[in-house]
Amino acid sequence: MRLLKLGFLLLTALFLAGCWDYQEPDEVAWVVALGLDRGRENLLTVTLQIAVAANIAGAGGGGAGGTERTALTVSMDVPSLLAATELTHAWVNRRIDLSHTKVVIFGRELAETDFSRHLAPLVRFREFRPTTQVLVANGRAEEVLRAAEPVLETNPGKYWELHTGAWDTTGFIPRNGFLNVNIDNKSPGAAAGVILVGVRRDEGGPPDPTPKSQGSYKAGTIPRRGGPQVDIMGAAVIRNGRMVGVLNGDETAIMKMVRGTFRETIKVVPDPLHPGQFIIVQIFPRQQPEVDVRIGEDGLPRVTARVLLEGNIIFIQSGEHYERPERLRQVERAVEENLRKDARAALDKAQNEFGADFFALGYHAKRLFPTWQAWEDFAWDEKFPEAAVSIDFDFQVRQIGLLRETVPGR
Amino acid sequence: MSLLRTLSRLLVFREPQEPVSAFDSGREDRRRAGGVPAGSGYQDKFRETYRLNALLEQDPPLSTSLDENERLLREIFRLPENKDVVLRPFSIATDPPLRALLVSLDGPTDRNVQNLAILQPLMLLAGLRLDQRLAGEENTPGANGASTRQELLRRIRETLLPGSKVTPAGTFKDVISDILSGNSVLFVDGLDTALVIETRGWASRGVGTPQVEAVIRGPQDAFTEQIRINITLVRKILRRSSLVTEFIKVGRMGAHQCAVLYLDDIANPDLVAEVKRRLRSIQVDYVSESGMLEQFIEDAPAGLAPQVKATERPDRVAASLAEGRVAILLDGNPWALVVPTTFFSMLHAAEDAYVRWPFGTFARFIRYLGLGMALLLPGVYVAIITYHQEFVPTDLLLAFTGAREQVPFPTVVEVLLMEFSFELIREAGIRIPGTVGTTLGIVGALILGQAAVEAKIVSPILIVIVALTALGSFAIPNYPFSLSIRMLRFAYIALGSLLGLFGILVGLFVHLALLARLTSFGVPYLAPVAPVTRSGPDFLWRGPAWEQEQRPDYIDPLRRRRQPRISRGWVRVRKKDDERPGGR
Repeated sequence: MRLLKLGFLLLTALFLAGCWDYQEPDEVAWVVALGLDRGRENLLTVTLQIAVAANIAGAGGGGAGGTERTALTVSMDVPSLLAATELTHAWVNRRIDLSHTKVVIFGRELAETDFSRHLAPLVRFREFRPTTQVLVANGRAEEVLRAAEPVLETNPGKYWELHTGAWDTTGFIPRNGFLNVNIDNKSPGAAAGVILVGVRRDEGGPPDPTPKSQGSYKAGTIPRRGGPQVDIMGAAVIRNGRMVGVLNGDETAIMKMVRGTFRETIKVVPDPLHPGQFIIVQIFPRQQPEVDVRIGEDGLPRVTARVLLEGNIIFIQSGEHYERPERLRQVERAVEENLRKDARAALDKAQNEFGADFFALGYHAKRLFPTWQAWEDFAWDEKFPEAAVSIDFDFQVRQIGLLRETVPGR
Repeated sequence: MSLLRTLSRLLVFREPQEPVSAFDSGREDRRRAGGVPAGSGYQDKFRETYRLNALLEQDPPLSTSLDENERLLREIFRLPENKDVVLRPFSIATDPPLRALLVSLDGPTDRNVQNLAILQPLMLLAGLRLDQRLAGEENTPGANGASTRQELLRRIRETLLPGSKVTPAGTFKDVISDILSGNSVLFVDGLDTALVIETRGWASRGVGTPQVEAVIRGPQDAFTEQIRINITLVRKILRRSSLVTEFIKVGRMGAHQCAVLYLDDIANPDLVAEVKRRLRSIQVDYVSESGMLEQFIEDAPAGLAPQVKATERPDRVAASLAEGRVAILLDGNPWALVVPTTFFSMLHAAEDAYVRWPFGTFARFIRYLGLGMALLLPGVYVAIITYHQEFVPTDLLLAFTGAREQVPFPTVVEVLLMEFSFELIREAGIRIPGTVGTTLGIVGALILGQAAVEAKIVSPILIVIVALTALGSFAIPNYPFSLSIRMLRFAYIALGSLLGLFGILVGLFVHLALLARLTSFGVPYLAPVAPVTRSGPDFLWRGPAWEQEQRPDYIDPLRRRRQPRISRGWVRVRKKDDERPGGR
């Protein structure tokens, strides 16, 4: 009898531990993307993109009906992000769940003033994942979300996930995740570079067929026709909780190379011997970059960063025999020179235009200070614009592709 | 407490202490038909039965008088109503002739053996001249009457009966049990000892292929219903003089022969003694199946898993005996019981040892996976889908959500519905007569699978879950063990739906603790993992045959090593190994 009582008590104790948050998945609205903008009729305009599961799973049995909407995008004016989840009940009959939110998009206007303030709830609220991507739109976030329509996939969550996950196949998208962004944003010694997203805009102006790097564009201005309305390219630089400027694709690649998050890019390099012709190379990191920081006698930091890269020759337009072992160095030098040019532009933006260390060089400087207090007192962010920074590249050709030698075309 | 007592009084059957007219209606009819005085038939029968049972209980010795013995036998076997018992009076052709009586059952007795090995030599070929002293003994019991009777018995046994197995029996109890098992019993006038002559000739199924434990590689014979044949099948594999077969009779009503097999030079004597002690102690009317016997001898009747391994394969029994285990065979039953057994041996199949070790090991891991799925998959599915949606990839979650969109029931109900339907299919599949068996496939697959989904009663993903669970449980080679897993699955579904993964983990914790507490004939059920004991490469995975050097430690056999450290004599050994040939 006593055993029975004990068993009963233990059993009930077990149920005290339950958190009773049983919920059927079909009673929940799964938010896959969030947009935050400066409000029109309240503090914020929050845009929710909700996946329409029935159409995604094809449970309607509608066969090839590809025209069904797979996402529901609604904007509301509310005082705060999480207030939106309650107001949602006014128009959606399900509980809002943010645990599968893939992206949070900040409108440009909001990012330029209040980025940090509205990033904070993401850190505290348990439904957000540390892997949620933070994006900044070149216009309003609600426009982006409304324009974003998955074409290759039915699931908008997958669309955002794959889209932002492209950082490891292109150099033009920064490696992100709100955890990293939050750390960069809060730490002295670094500025965050978050993914830039934009709705395509037709920027009038006369056509300009001069050769340009494919990385010289930013989201929303890529010259293309057809396809989805939303681009992801380049980075928005956030300094002290405010967005200070935008990097194009090439500058973003340099940022990633120096930070060590670079994986792959394709570079179109002018042929050193044949003006107007190009060598196309694929570039990978060889090792983590070597960054050396010293504090000079004038109290300003001196930074030498060496980025170690390797790559493959994809194409030599001129047919010049650069593949020969003794001539490979020419290609390598051309690539290094090209990268140096990009690096100069990026560094110029970092030091003179934005005054923001988006290369996160400060992280390498930290170890020079014995205490955190000393590091904070040093005020890296203020000294960085005056610092002597040199970024150098060491590129080695690994493979020359399937051609041993090119016979010049006639 | 008093409530319990009342309940038990209501529910538990107690044998009535005095004759209760339990068959009133029947008697009513008889009375009307034949005019038998009320109650007399039942009362008389009861009294007579009681008297006979009491008589047998006393185990009376045989009488020297043939007539007296015959009278008692007629009473015991209910002659003349009973037509199965044959009493054959005849004279032994000695000089002077002796009156004798041959008693046997019509049916289980081999009539040829009876005619040629008993009646023919005794009636025609006897020609034995009895000296005066022996012949006249019956009339004048003298001082050395006993010894002369022994002499006569010895003479008959040694010179007149050519049967291979002739044993003397002195009491009615022995005689009756031998008659019932198909032997013939010879009574000779003047002797208070009968001779039991082996004439068994039961009709029995031949040795067939295993129906349940089928293998692709390995011997294809299985036990049959004849205990003698079964023992022969084991002996055929294990030709060893130390292989001992002991018989213990189990059951008072239809005493079944129960054979205990062990290798005398390997099995732990304490284990053998314990098996015999448990078998001898059983007080029961009737045990006909090893599954019933199992319930009488297992350590924990309420345990979560079978503590005795049943097998229909002689090779498995032989392998177990060689490891130092004990096998119990029951007459009339093709399932042998092997004790002690452990959790890991529940997931072993005979074939693991017969294929090369990587494949044996792979098959075992597949089975562990199957075990995990059969036990946990539906529970984990319910837990994840209703509590931990952040666990699943978004695509899968949306697939779950979309699939459930038009399903009217909560996930738990849906899962329970489908799991119970499947259990129903499985149960029906066993009970369905073979001739209509094909309809079950149509009903099961089409109606429950496709139609349930089309009708939006369950989601299609759930069908996949149920199918995987079913496959998992079929991959468990031990049928009783898979039964226990099937039942426990529902506990995990309940825990998963009430407490999520937390509940499943709590359940797993309790489950493992209970398993760890279980013993099989004193051997911890989770040995050699809990408690950790020395073990060869044959519990979780299956090592190469030449690495199976030691018998399992937890059985504590008389001899631990079964092959030397270098069992492949042809391999070139390194210097270090040379120094200690054969290891310890």
